Amino acid sequence: MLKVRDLVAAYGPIVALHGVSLEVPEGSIVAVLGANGAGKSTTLRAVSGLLRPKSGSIEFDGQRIDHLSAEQIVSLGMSHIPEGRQLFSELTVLENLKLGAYSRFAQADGGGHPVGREHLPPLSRLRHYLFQAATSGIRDLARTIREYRQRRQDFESALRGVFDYFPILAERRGQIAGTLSGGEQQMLAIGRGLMARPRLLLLDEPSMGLAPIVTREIFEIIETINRTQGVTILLVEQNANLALDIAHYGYVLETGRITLADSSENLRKSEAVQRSYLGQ
Amino acid sequence: MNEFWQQVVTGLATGSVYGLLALAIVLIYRSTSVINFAQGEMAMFTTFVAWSVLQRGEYWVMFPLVLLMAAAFGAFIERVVIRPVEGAPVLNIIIVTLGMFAILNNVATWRWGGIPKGFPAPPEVHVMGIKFMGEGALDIGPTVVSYHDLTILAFAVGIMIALYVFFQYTPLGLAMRATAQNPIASRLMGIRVGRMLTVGWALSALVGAVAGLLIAPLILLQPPMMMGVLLYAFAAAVLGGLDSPVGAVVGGLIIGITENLVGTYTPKEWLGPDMKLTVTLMIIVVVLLIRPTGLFGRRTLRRV
Amino acid sequence: MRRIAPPPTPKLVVFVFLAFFLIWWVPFSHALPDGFPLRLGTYRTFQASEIAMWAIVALGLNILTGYNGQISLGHSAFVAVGGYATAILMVDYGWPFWTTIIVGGVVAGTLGFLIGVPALRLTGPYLAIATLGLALATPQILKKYDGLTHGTQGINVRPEVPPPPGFIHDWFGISLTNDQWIYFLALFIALLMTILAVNIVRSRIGRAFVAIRDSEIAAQAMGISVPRYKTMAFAISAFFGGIAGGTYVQVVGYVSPESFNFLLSINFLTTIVVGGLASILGSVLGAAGLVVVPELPGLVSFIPGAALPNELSWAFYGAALILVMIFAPYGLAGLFRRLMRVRPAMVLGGLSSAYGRSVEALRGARASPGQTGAGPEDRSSENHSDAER
Repeated sequence: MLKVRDLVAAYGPIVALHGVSLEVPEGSIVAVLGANGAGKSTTLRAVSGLLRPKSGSIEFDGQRIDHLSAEQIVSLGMSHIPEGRQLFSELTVLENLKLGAYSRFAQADGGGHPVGREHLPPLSRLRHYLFQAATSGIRDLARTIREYRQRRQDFESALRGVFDYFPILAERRGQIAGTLSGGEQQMLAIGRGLMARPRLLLLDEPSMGLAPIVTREIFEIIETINRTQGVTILLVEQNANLALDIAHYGYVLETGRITLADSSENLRKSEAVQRSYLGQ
Repeated sequence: MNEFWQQVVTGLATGSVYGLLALAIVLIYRSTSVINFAQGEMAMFTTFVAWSVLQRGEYWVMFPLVLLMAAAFGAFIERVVIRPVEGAPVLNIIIVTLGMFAILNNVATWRWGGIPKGFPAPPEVHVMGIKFMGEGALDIGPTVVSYHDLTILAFAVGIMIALYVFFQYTPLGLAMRATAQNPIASRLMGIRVGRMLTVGWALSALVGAVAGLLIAPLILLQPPMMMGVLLYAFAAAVLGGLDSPVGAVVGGLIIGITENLVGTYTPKEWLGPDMKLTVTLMIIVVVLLIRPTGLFGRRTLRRV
Repeated sequence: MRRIAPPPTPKLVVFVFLAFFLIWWVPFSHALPDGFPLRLGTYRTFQASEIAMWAIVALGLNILTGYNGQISLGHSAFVAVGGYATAILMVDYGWPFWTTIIVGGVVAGTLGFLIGVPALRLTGPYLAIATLGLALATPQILKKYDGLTHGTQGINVRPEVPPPPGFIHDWFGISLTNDQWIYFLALFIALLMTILAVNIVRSRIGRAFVAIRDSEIAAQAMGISVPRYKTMAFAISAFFGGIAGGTYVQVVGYVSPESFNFLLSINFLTTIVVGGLASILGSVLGAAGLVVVPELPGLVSFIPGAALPNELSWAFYGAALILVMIFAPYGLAGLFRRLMRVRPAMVLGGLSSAYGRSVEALRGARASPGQTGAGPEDRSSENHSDAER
């Protein structure tokens, strides 16, 4: 489903990825392990469109996406749950979830068409944007009235799904996101990502800052999501134990390069991994 | 006692003027964290354009036309003037708005300066035998209030409600709030961040235009007309909480009433009408000390 | 944003150039033949004094806003207090100038401290507008309490200004006009204040200011008493303002309530942002800009064909402001450093906004391959705010 080839990415003059290649087969859970600063988050950012790669290719379902923007990539069916959650901490749980579904129901740029208006000459683009800006409020209202029922049902069922996985969120749906505990925030972040009904979920260090029990719970849920809904998962983690527990396949990233790539069982048994990442 | 209520009512009238412009300021602050010092001048500019249109057309034809033009104007400014300073610290952007202030003021003076012009209030409209808007005054109990003042109050409250509903209950409003809080996450939700910023400026210019159209009949249309109002509008926005449309209007009303009462009821020798601005400002500062983000402000302080 | 301390501006070059400029050219160039383009007559000398004066305020404001991160739109009040204290003491009580200017500074500094205490509660735009309120209130207060302040008619100080002391004529054989003497006075005071500012900025106090600006909580964790230093910053910057006010009294010779209105305050802020935040050089350059830029349309009109309708000179000024912000986001000082081929400093930390971040996010989408503003380290400090509570 996802094919990354020879990806080179940098932050200004600092090169973070020196030609990373990996593959995520549909329906699987793939883990990317590595120490701090190895480039794991960078990889996800490049895939989800937050970071423009310097070279290399990223293919999602056979379509090249490395030149697309993050907003466009989201509507292709990929959700990125970033490092540190990046919740809208002043909004409520429910509002965060609503925003998760934004790409599906708001479509203020004219429908799930993944490519923006970049192909138009600048002046037409400007006119288009002005028109959009001036009328999108009105059009949103019109669309809201017209498609209200359909979207409502769509949304409700996605919401029910998320609440099934994370009942605590249903309880706290009116609470301000910033006041949730760490574990609850992670659940909300994942739930928010699920609201877009993605086919590929990018998870950046979901265990960060969480207590072990909570982390275990969350990882179990991640595994369930993959098993029951067939959502493909690309998981970046420092906690190799947990990651390899649920992953089918794994990559080890060291200072911007893939050093190991194998099935999760083999990685578990490998001496190198045991020494560096499993604390044996 | 009659005097008291008259002062209160007059205060409500001037207060809604401040509140209207404060709404525009809050709109931009809420979506971009920028204090737009050019807000008043933008409103003044669109009002002059409206005046030109009025020379050739009816009031209610001009009104929606000018609002649309104002929205486009706001969007244009965001794209062309503000966008290039993207990523810069907020002080830089404020300086840019100050630059726009200078440009708009100067160009308006050059083009339309000279003799102040009259600008009409919205003409009267009759619904079910009751007169709305228009000229003249109305007796309410012991006080006298003009129709136009009521119009301004109605618009201020009406727009405030509309904005509140917009931000709380529509997807676009939610998306704009999200963009203001966390742009990276917003992009990951599929929100076009640039679009949100443009809409914010367009909306704000629109609200400012309404403010200008309604204020002009009171103070004569001339280039410096919005400068005094702007300062009061800032005070109102801050008093009410810079990210709250409700706060903007409430703040404006409070300032309007307080000013009048201070002017009338404090001893002339060491306070009195000469000091009404000072006393009002001090009251605002005291309120801010109790509630550092304004009466209705919600921005929680950042945790580490 | 990465916070790298700026390499020190190459001072030797600057000093040599400035010394020549300031000491000879500014006051004495009127000895050059009339019509010579570099000739600076009486009015220009006055403007040079103005630059010195405003530089003092800019230095003070920069300490508060650039180094300590507190935005103040009320500095015209401090200048007014200093100016009026000086004027009143000189005219009504016959005090000598040097004493009155110190008193003016101290009075302003005290006011600054008093403002600084409640300012602890306010941040960002709320503080800015509250201080703007101070600037708005000042003319009203000055007019009202006219028993002390002479009210709207102001105070005329001119007769009291000391003429150039005799020794200059005796020692150097030069006779200075009043304007030139005043210029040297202002220059001297400005130099003293610059040295003071440099010392403050480079001391523990200055470092504490910057630490607080960059992260109050981290500073506190390091043992810095945030309230103490924040109020200190206000007091110090107000002191500078007061001194500038006293200097104003000498340079202009007249104070009135309207001399110090809120527009002046806004100009001060513009000055330090355009000049360069958190930069001594920037404060001076900004002050120079404040005085010189409005003159440019007039100068440009000497070039044949480049006619700018005079009425549009403020539009020109506004456009200049915008252009500077677009092309020199770190101000003139930043430009200067780049010209000197020193690595551009990135010291504006602490003042970024949601707006700035949002268009930074945009930039990530549209920037050329491989270039974003974000770095992995920058993200993590933000991210961990959501971590386990």
